[in-house]
Amino acid sequence: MTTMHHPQAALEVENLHKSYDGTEVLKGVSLTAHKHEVISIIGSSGSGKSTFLRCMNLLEFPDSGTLRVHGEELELAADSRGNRSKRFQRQIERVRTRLGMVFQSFNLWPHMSVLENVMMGPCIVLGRPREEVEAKARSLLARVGMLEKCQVYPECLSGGQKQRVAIARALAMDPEVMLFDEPTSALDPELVGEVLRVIRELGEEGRTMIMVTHEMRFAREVSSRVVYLHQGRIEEQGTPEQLFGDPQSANLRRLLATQH
Amino acid sequence: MEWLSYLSFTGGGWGDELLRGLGVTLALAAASLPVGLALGLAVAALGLCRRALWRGLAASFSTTIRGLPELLTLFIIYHGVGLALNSLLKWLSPGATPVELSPFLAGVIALGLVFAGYSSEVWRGAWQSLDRGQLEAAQAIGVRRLTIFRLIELPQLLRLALPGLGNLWISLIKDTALVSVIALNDLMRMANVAVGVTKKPFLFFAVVCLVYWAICLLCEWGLARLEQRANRGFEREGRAA
Repeated sequence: MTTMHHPQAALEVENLHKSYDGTEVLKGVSLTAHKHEVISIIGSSGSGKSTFLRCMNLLEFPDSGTLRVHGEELELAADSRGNRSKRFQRQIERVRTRLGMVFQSFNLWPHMSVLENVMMGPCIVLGRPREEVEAKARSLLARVGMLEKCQVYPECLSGGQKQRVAIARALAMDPEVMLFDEPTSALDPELVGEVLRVIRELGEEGRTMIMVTHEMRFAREVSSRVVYLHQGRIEEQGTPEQLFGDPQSANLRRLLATQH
Repeated sequence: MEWLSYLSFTGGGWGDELLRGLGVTLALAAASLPVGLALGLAVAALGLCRRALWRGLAASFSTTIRGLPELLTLFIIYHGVGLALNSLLKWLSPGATPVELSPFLAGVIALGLVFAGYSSEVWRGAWQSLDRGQLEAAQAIGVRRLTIFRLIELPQLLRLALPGLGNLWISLIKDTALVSVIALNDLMRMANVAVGVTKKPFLFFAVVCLVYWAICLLCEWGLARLEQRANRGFEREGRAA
């Protein structure tokens, strides 16, 4: 395995390209997430930030580029979409088990209880014994403050509660990296806080996280690095102090001005 | 009280014949259902393929089936397929004795095709209303495609399709009466025979009428229970078992 590149890298993306119907959405984006880093990706809508995140666990298939998850490397090319070998498909599935994904619209499975939602991955994908999985699921639900709702179905939960369950579901797989795709964008303003609190705690525990967000203040508080994506390219990146305190790019300055 | 003797299960009564007919009717419906469900689901899956060829095949199947009177479908299967089989047999070995397609098998195939034609549309509608995000959430933790279908898609497909499928099932039970015209001894044909012998049409048709009603009422009750079960988690206050 090619662990030579960055010994501490949990996730490396190199030179990612992605087009939809001839429009290039990602024009060669690279990013390395080291262990314990919290990276926020910001940018105006249409900048390609969600596509970029979704390419990392191959929910969108890039046209070209390289993906390295904890040393395991995937060469990506557009033609591998149509004719994926079984081996390549298995590799994709394996890589996905190492990346936890939290969606904007929660995407809980409505026909399963909260507990079943959290247990599904470890039981079905990792094949772990049920009792062990259930004990762990309960402790994860307790951590996001949802244990007392563990027998309830998602339909009965508020948006903030759903998102906390979705975070527990992703954590249940013991992912190396957590990916958050605008985790608070679908929430009522008064529910945003409870979700951000959980994400903040994960960062403080030393989890590696990459998050696409519009919550600038939050990004500033929790991130170790902020990446500004503009028109499919990384236009600027650095510490939150650099990016929010002294932005170099005129586009970024404009974006930040509209946020206040 | 003379009519009771017509319905008695012994001697000259028709009770035992009618009961056997009822058995055939139920067996026919029960055998056609899985055929129609599976074929309908397969056609729906084809109809949602990216390939235009598959989509066209699926569309022409359900259009053809739904455009034919059920009776005609039955005749085509019973006579047409039988004829084709025998021509093929004759061509392969000229001296062979002709085979006959059993009326029961012909009935199962025809009713199965009809059920598939209609249910494919129900499945397709249910499939399209599934939330893509849920599939992505399963993909994102590395669940395999077939497992996603089994654990995420199918349970919800069933829930969404159940009311429509229930309707088709009730209609299938009544369509079984059509097989009486290809000499299969179902409930309807037994009643006809009884009427022919006894000249008591009102009595026998009324009895058969009540029997069909009873079956349908029972099915509706069962379907309501099934829907209740499938909708767990979708009503407020839903609790896990």
